[in-house]
Amino acid sequence: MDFLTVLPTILKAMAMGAVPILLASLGELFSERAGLVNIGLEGLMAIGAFVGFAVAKMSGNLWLGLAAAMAAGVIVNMLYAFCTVTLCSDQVVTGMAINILAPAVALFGYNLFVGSDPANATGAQMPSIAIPGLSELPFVGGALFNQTLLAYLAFLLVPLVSYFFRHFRAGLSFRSVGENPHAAETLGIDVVRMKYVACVICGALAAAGGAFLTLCYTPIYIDGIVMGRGFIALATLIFGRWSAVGVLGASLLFGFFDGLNVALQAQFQAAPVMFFKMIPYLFTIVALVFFGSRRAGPRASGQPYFREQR
Amino acid sequence: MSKKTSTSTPVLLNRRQALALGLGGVGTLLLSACGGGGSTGTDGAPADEGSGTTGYRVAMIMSGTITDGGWDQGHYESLQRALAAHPSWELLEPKENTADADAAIAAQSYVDQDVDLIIGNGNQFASDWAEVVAEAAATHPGVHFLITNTDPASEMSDYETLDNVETVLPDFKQTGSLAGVVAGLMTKTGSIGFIGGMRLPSTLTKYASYLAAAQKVNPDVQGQYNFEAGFTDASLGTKLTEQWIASNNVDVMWGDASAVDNGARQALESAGADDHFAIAQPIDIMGDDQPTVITSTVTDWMIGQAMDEIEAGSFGGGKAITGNMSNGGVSLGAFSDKIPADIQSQIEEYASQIEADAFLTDDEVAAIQATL
Repeated sequence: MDFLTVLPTILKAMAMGAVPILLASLGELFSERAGLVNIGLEGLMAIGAFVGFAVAKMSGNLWLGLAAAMAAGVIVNMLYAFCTVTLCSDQVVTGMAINILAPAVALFGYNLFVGSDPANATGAQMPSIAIPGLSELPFVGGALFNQTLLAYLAFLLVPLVSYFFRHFRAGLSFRSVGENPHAAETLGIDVVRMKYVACVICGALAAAGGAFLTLCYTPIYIDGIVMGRGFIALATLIFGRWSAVGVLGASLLFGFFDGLNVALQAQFQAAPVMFFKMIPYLFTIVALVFFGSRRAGPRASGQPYFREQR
Repeated sequence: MSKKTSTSTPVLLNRRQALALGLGGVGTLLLSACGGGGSTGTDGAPADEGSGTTGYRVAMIMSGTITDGGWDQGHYESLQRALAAHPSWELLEPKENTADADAAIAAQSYVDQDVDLIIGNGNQFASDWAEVVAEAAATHPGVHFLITNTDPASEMSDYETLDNVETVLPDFKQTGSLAGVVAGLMTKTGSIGFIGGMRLPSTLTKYASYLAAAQKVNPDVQGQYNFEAGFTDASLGTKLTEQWIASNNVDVMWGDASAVDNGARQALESAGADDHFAIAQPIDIMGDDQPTVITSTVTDWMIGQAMDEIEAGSFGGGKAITGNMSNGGVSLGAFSDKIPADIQSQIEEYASQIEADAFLTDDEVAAIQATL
């Protein structure tokens, strides 16, 4: 296998593969910074994928589809928010319930939407935009600088989110809520309201990550389209040590190994495909074992907040 | 400290009470929904009470949807064609998205309704339905089962009885040969690709025939393949095809992997729809919304023949109905304008030879299959 020949395609797969994971992981970053461990990302991405596909198909407007997907993600995540913030139920269990409910709702909606007309099963796809000059760079130009606008926006979010958490009072409030909500409460921060805002942002971004799959990757929706990316997003957050830049790096690494897996499948056809398919997931496990540490995360993450508790 | 309760204090729910109330409400809704039947429920409304005196009823159970653009849509369209030719038959609502764990229950629900013909889309149902078939033979002798893409000898050897079962097996050599002839004549780079969802004997036969036929018309053709892409990850189809285009100059693709084929077509379109082509399978999807598709290999699942046999009382015995070019089970779809007229004529000439089994020998196919 000539590595230089396959490298541009691997890099393109890396960039495309990283975007949905990056968006979902950034959403989870807001959620966990506010002390909420939301493992329902898989379900949120599924609902975003379907709603984005359906609204874009009906309206003919891909951005309207994206907006509708984000709204749907917020609505579904409000269920999570109510259960975990107001009712103080177990966050992991509630997240799993979202993972069961949301994809089922998405599939039900899809069956209603498509009906028996196959023409409804294929939607529109966002065009790629080449950045002049940069897209002509050898090896990396066409792969990294010829993406959809949504992909560029996702990458742009990284420095914005990083700046937000470091230099904005609201960002500091988020972080304090996730570290010690009782102390934050005594300082006048409305902890419950912060957690709900975090859920809104998490729902919107995770659903946007799902919508990317049906609006930018392939213009179809199918049951199981998320393919475990929601859980990978959780892992990238841990591997990225709860920082936006770290999450970007982890997402790109996973995307790179996923692209490498496909390149190896394409070139070594006689070899068992399953060995190559394991590569990105083995990387995830190794990364978590050696670099993942729950101690690096918000101290109060995953713990229910009882306002009256002292 | 004693608790004081004011008589004027409104009754508020605590967390447990709120959770219980919510769960109870959800449970009530679910029970009422189940009782009313789902969107693609197992209960169809029978035209008559029991199996009709003059009418027959047919049901189809599938793991995907009728609009998946591939496997199950092909089955559903075959069923629609059969129904059009058999007006005495009524279709119950198809059972979509049936998981393996639910396959037996789904079939049993139709057995209980004395549905005349229950169709299972694919050989995964062969292993799931063994007990249902055995019990139905004893208690509901008027119920018949048709399982597609299944070899009774190898995949139903544990069945207690095959009296009420038949299968359908398309001629995969003909399917692959037709695609191979088109690919061999249309490729400019001499490099063609194939994506299969699972490493099944049928998949290997299709690819071996595909490559052998392509090399028959163009000895310089090389083939790229992947037999384990699954059926749902369209992005994998995109990435695989992009790799082959970049490193192997693949310019014609054929697939047997449903949604993954859709992803492959996206990659071909990005590379240039005027010189990168796709051959669709198993339904004819050639049209303006598919700019890379130049033709399709179409499979008809011979449901009409099964209906004829049921009406005549000759259905059963574990017979495998073969779908081929002679009986319409295998065919080529419409040609795109991108196939020049002279090449279309060549394809039709080769298709005649394929139908007469005079184009490829079994040894030629086996020679390639042995290398896979």
